[in-house]
Amino acid sequence: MPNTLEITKTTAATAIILLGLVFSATARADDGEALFQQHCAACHGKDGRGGVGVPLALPAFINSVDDRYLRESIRLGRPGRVMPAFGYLGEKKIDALVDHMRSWTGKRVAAFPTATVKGNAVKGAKLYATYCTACHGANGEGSKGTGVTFSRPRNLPVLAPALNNSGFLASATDAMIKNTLIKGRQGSPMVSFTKSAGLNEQDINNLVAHVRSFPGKVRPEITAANAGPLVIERDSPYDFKTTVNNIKNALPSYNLVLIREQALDQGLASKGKENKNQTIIYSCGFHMLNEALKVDPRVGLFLPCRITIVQLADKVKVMAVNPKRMSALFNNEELDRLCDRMRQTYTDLMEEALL
Amino acid sequence: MKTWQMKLVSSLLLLLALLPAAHANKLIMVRIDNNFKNAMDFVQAAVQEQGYRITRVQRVDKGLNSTGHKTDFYRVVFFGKPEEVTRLAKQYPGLAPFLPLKIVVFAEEKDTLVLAHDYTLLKAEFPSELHPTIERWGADMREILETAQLTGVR
Repeated sequence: MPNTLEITKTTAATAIILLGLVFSATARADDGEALFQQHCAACHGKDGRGGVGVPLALPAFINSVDDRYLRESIRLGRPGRVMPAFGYLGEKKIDALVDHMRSWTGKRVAAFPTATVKGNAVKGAKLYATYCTACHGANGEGSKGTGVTFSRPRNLPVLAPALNNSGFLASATDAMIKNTLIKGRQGSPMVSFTKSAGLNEQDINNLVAHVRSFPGKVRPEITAANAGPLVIERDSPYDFKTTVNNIKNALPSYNLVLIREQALDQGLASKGKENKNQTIIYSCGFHMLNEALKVDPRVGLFLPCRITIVQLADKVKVMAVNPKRMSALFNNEELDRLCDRMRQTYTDLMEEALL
Repeated sequence: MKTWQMKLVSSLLLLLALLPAAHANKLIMVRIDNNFKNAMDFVQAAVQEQGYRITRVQRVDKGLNSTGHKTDFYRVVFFGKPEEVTRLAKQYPGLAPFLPLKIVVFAEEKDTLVLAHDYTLLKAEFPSELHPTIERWGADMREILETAQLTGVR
């Protein structure tokens, strides 16, 4: 057994190493630009001009939101609307990110008051239906097509945000929402509603009260309990060859085009020595894929549609990755629905082929 | 330092290093500051540098464009380690739908976006003896994307 001195020395050494790590992490936390490149640039662009994510550097945006809004948006993300929650970064790093974002225009924005704006939500609902629904949706769900990217034809790098999103509602103060309604956002479809629609301050307050009345949508967690197992699998009553043919023959019924059939180890095993008892059937429904890419440009991780067939000692197994479970990775509720459709397609296709 | 003490310190350090990763996003995406053609070269080189063999590049954009849907370059790179894929697919047939591994590469104007996931979703569904392999895949994905991104800096 170790003696007390040895334990003390070890503990001291451990403490020194841990402290060193803490200090080095603190030093790194100051580098907002590096953090932005690491965590944000993939979606928002290296200069914040947008891409998969919204153009944060748009002056009419960055100069009209306060630090609290930016900080909370980073921390909480937008559940179900692609933007992940970065709360795990911790306060210092999030502050450094906000500082970096402020450097784009060099302008500091005074904090908006946190007091509730007093308005009539019922009257606000009527105004909302007239002026806001077209862009933000009847229930504040935001515009469709979260899958924005410059890789596809696109008119604007912005989407109407989901005002009913719990992340938005927790980040935006009433005063900030009011300010946006009054001033609009130049360079985006968001106009000033006092100028363009002639609304007065009470109307604006009523609108704010209506937006604040949204329940704050949270994305339900995707688990095995509600989405099924990670792999959809069926035992085939047929031999291997018949199973493969049946799967291929069933594809057209589901608007899937056969791309190719290959051994699982093709390109890995020497030519001619591939395992003939493990086959992948790749297919694609290009129209559905195009729709999916409009919803999320990252769906490539599901591509191409794939069914794997393996010969085991006593049976033939047919498998596909369950897209509904995989959609947990994407934080995109629109995509969740498409993934559920695709899960059903795989299930139906397998059942038809294995009847 | 004695063996048990070294183990204690190593475990603490490992735990500390893994703390942020435990919360980090499981989807990994980087922006390569370079055009698609160069970025594809960087990604494929990084995949090979990490000890994998590329089995195929699926040209998704070709299929989309030929069916009348407009898109810029969009490809999926498949890769694996020959012995590993053969062995795992045989020992764990349920893992076969995830093999070979893949990375998605698509153009975004003058930049390129590269996307992968860290495979941690698999951990809950497969026996613990596979966890080190699954964790290595995740680490390799991060390494490949970071290497490709660094190479791509203009």
